[in-house]
Amino acid sequence: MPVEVGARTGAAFEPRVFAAMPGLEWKARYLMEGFLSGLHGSPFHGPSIEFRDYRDYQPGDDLRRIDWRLYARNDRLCVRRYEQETNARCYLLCDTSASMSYRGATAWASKIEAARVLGLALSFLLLRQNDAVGLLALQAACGDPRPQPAVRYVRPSQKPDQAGVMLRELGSLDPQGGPALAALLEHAGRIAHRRSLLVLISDLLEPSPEVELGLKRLRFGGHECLCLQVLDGDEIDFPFQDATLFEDLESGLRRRQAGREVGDLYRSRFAAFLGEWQDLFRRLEVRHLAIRTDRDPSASLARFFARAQGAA
Amino acid sequence: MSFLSPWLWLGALAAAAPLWLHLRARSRRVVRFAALRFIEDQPRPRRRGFRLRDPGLFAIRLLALLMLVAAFAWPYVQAGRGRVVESRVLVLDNTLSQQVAGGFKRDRGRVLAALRQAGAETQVAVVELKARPRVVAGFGEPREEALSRVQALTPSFERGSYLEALRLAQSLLDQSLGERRRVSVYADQQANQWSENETSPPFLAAGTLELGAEPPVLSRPNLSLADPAVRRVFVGERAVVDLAVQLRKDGPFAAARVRLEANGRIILRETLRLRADQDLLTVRGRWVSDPGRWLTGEMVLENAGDGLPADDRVSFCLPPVEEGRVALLARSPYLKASLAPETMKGRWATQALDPTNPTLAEAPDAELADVLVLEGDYAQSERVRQLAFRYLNGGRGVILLLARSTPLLRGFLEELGVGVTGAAPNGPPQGFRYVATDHPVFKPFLGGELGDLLEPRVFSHLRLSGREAVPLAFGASGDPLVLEGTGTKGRLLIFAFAFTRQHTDWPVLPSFLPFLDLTLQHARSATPIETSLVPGELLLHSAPPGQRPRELVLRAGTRELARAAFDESGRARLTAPGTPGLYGLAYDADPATRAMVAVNPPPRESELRYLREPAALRAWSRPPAAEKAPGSLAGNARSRAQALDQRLWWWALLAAVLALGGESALLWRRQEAT
Repeated sequence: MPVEVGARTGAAFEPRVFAAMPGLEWKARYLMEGFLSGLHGSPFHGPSIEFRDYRDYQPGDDLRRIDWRLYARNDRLCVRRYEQETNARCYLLCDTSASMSYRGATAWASKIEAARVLGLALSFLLLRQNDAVGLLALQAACGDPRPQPAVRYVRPSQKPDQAGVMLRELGSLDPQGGPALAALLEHAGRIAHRRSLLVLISDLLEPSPEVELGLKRLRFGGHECLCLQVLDGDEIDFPFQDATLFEDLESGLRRRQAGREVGDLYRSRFAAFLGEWQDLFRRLEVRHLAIRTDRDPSASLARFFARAQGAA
Repeated sequence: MSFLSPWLWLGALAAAAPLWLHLRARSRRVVRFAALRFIEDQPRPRRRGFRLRDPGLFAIRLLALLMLVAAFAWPYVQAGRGRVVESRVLVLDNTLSQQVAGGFKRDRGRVLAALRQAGAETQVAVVELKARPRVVAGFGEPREEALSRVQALTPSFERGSYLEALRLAQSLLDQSLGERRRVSVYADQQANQWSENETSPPFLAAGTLELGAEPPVLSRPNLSLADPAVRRVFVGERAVVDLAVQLRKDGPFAAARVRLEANGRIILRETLRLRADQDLLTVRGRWVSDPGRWLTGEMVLENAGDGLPADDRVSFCLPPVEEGRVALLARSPYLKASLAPETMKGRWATQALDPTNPTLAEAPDAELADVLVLEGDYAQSERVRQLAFRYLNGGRGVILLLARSTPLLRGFLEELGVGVTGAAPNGPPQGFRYVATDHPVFKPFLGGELGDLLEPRVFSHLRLSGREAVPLAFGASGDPLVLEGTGTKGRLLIFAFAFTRQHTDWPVLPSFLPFLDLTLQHARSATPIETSLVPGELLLHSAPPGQRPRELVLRAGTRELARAAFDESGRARLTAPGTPGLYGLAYDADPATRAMVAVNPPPRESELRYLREPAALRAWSRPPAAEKAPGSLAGNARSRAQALDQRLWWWALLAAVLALGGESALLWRRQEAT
């Protein structure tokens, strides 16, 4: 069984062994079992129908939550309060820009593959606790001349067969095209119900005012946001030494650079770049986790969710 | 060819291959990266044209390639050290006819002179023309060594082929280095040597052949003896030796004095008158000899005074008669009487078989006779048919006499490859009309002393057709009367009639006993002993049945000449001696002579006729268009054997292999490290 390979046995994570696992589902289940084993409850919470008590109506409250029967009996305007438990509605926002196709020499998968595995693992987890999960991605078809990529949308559902739908849809995502993160966030803002859980899976190699604006809108819309930043080890460590001909994955431009000459500069700039993202997420109260594709993702997730539970 | 040759430099260009691969691999290494924008403002590195990532590996690869190029170029480089203007092959005729008027010594002197006169820019090889042409001195031999080898050649009595010698010379030239190529033939230019292979396809390069000297005359007078045929015939109680020798006359000879000796006794010594219009006559001798001992002798032309004394003498030998065993299944009283001990004592021991014996066909091999004489009526029995097949499959002889045809007999004959079309209608008695006179059974009757084969009458016979049999004698009606089977291991002789009074009157005629004896002798031996050879011919000797000697020893008197091992099938091969005479054959270390062989001069060498402009030269020469351009790479190439013989070639090849091995090991270590 794949779950026996990694965290449960305590064996060191082997990217090559993990990469050799057949199929997306095995990897996702391995990942879910790995980070779930350290948790005692659901890491997600959302609106519930479990009634707790009443409070007096205040201007600005949603009129739909006024208990009109109580008003008829007591002539008091009260609103219902509910228990905050599980049954969240979750949207997986998956970045499918061409930069997600990179895979370093020591990685267990490309970034898009890692995004698929992470998304599917979270889907399994949410469906297991009867939460609804859906998918939103912008897919540029190969050779498609249209400037606007097609929207891949799976309506959130908690039906048992949703896992299969997510598996199929995530498996068919193909990294192509240029930056589309801002558009993805804009679509999410229009589609998602209020107070949903939005999980953004991206390498975030696309800083722009539009992306920041999109995140702010989502937060102001009442959504809870989680960002899983998938990065390759090469992008963090920049291990290139010799003169190498680089080609940009999204623009296709080529340039030759001597790795040892620009390595230090690259690493410092990349650290600053990550710091900017972290500052932004801190300001917007968006939970953020950077996941390296050359390390055990289940361990990172377990630590992250354990910290989140402790904070709650 | 030298180091300045463009071919060598073209080969050295191969060394550029790893450099090209290296540069190509470097330029093709593209990393498709996602976070280039962090360094896109950095200046591009200055391009270094030939920066090697792994100088050691690159040097080893270059070394391996250079060594390979050097190894394969070395034969050509070596060949170009000394410029060879001409390659010349001297063909020295050493056949029997060259002994006429000292022709061999004269031509040997010419070859020696040509060897001495050849300069350093000429490479010379010498080919000796004998029964098997051979290279006396190759192109690579030192000149002194070649001179001493040619000087040591002695006249031979063999016959050789100009065609084979010239083919050998051409093959030498094909591997030579000279810009010009030439074959010089030092021969007497005997006419029949040029004409015997005139239809061979062209093989000589055009314009390469030159004849040493023209023959001074176009023919020389000669008397010669050849083709001795000796056999032993029993006439009643007497064992008679029958000898026939061909005497050839070419020239104005009026008489020839002939001397015949056998076992140390002069049999004949007289002068024969020769007619002017008679070129060939047969000298016959017939005398009584002890059949129990080897017959050896010679016929000599005394004081012939002809051009070639070496062919004035022929030797002959004949093995002793060994008593044979005959198994008889016949009711014919003539056969019983003819094969009775009183008649065939010392020659044939006859055992009459009992056809009712149930173990007839199961007798051990050692008890089987040499020949089974079988009347067809007995072949009605299954046991008898099985016995006949045992004889034939075991290499023994069967004489089958057919009196009538039955279905069983027809089936039996079908298995033997003979068909029966029925009995001939009664008609007048018929004699033999056509007889295979060159067959060993019928040939001795040509002289007439053994009886007249046209005298016997056949009254009735069966009509036979041979599917796997050849007719030996036909009757006046055209039906074959005697056939010999060809599809069996043992010899099978089939008579279309029985030796009874109802079928023939032959048994009461004088020719019957010699005929029966010759027929039994022929049926007995499937592998006759070879007793007459020409010099240099292959001698094939079979060990006697039941004996397994290891080696066959050829002796001249008590002196051992050659030795050959018997193979698994009990046969040994030797080359006949080059000098005519009588030789003995013995087994292993046993001094006893087991067989003898007579070596006589080849008859065609006695035809002393010569050609000045042989037509074969034109027939054997290739058209000029097919010639290779002189000095071409292929033409200058050394032979493979010569190339492999060069030590530096091997060292270069070894260095290349070691370099390649080192490169692989280095690569493997680096891969392990990464």
